[in-house]
Amino acid sequence: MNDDLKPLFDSYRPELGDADEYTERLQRKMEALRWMKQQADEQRRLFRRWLVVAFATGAVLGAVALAYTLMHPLPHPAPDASRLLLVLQQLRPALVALAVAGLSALTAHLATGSGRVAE
Amino acid sequence: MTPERFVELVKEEQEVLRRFLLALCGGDRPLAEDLAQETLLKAWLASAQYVERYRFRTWLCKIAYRTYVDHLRRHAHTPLPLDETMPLPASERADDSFRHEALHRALARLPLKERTAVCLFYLEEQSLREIALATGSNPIAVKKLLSRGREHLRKLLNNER
Repeated sequence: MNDDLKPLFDSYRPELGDADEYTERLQRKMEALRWMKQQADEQRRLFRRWLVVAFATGAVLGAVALAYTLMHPLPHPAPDASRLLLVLQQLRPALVALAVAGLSALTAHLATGSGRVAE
Repeated sequence: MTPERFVELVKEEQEVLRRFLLALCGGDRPLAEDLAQETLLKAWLASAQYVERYRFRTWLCKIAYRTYVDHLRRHAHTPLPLDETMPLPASERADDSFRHEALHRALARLPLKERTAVCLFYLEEQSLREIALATGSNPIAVKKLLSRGREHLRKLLNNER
């Protein structure tokens, strides 16, 4: 096939600058990238460690809080007790769960905060 | 892949890659150089996924094409400054410079897929299958693209004369 475009592209040899310098520049960037990747991996490891700490803290605090509420039940409300006390008693398990969740979230927040400092 | 092996392969293919991107960018040297570095860094990061049965060049061109498409998406509202894309080093011969300039200008006006197919076919001498691999297409579609691209390019080059 007679292709008139081929000679045009065959003669397309634009000057591209020094190849060695180009490769050196690339190698420097690769080195920087390797360092950044190392830092990111380190960061990820740290984050995972803190996540485990946060989970363990949440579990321990939750168990303690649950044990405490079971061992110290609220006195049975007197017949004239206010409605609020009654509602509180009904909601007690939910309040304990909320407190545990809050403590876990706080620990996790502190952990991520520490991670950021390490950055 | 070890860094040494990667650099070795890059040394062999960097000229091809830079020339391909320069043509794809319509002669915009700074952009082509930036994209070439970005391509090589992406390739380095993904080097574990490189499958030896494909040519390294084909794999690089595939990444380069995607990098260029990403660049176009990022700068979708910035038109290609044609007048500024043409500066060539003074050391190039005037007639070569003129020919390259005309080719760059014509290529810059081709639709992206046609431009990519034409550049890979003529500059990198890639097969239809390899071009299809690089552009995420199939060989039949590439054949049609090439045919259309050739026609368009001829018309554009004739208009340049």
